Amino acid sequence: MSGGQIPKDHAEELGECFAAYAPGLFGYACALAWGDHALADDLVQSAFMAAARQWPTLRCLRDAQRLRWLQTTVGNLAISAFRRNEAFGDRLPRLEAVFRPRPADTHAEAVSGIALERCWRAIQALPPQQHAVAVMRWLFAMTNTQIAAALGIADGTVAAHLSAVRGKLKAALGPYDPFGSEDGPSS
Amino acid sequence: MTTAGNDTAGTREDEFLAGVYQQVIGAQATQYAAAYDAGAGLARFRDWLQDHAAASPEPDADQMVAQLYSIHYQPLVRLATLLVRDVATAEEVVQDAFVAMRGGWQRLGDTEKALAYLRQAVVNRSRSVLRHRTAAGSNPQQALPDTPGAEGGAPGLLEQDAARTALRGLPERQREAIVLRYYAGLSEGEIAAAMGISRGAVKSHTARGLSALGAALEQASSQPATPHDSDDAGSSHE
Repeated sequence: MSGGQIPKDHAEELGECFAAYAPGLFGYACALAWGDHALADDLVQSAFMAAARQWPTLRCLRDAQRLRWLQTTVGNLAISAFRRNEAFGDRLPRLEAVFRPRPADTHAEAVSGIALERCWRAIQALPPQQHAVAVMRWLFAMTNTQIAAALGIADGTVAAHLSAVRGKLKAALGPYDPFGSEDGPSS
Repeated sequence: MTTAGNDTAGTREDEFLAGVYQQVIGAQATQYAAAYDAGAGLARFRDWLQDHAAASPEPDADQMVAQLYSIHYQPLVRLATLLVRDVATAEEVVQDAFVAMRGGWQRLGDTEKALAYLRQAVVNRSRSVLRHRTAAGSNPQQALPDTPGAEGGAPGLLEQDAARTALRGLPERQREAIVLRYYAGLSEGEIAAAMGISRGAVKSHTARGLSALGAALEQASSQPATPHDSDDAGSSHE
């Protein structure tokens, strides 16, 4: 019963799915993991292992739905990796090596590349729990209550973390923050 | 500085900062994605898949079922014919049994068990056919001519016919036991499994069935044979 359970045709489909989505998911995982390639690699593998177990269901979904499922799974795995791994913060020094200036194409609407680069550094410098809260809030669109439940912390702590992250992003943006530094708590 | 309780979610500033955050993460993700060694990742995942692959019973199962079919279909039909007393129904019964067996192949696993399952399915289905018939009130004795085929007028046939007729007269369980024992050539254990009863019960059904058959055959051979002869032999001649 246990052990080998993945039929051959499923394995083939999973291989195709991996080839199609793994690079994108790796990039996503890597960004979530502050550039830790090894961790991101593990996250992607784990997500596809989970997919293999759920494949009878997943194979029936449309491509976009399947990708969403994979992204969510990678995200959740990353969050739990942050929680499990207290030493996650120790990985930070390695990040300098992998950091590269972003390509100078799109994304340049209102905010300059330099400002975004500073934001990335600010994100990388976040304490693990603040990082987790930011990821869940802005990438997974979870509510504060959901985040609090997921991390086992108080709602107020979530709000405090978010506001701290906002402050750091604003500081990194500097003059590119359209809301300016004078946009204080008075509003 | 915003206070902890004052969540600015939903404000334009919050949306803007969320957008910046998403943009930064997205840009990084794109870069990292380009650096991914997809070949190595896929190889690693394929290894894992291989370790967790099912024992791929599918093609084997089909082959084995086909083999079982070619070897056991006819014998099972003959057996079922003796139980339900007509060939068309017998074939249906056996085909149904094969379909059910194929469906449960994963659970059965090997030919030995599959064959036992087939026999049991044939016996069970034959029983329910007979039950339906009695319920429907049709008369099986007349409904079926004896087995078709090249049974024109061979010498041993009269006896065989008589045996068949006698067999029909037996109670259901005795008939099953006799058919499985002497026509299908199964062992006591196999019969017990097929009928879903104990070996002891098989023994007693077989014994009673045999003596009933013997009595019936004796009667058959003494009665319809040429009346004169029997008269001569038996009654007074002066």
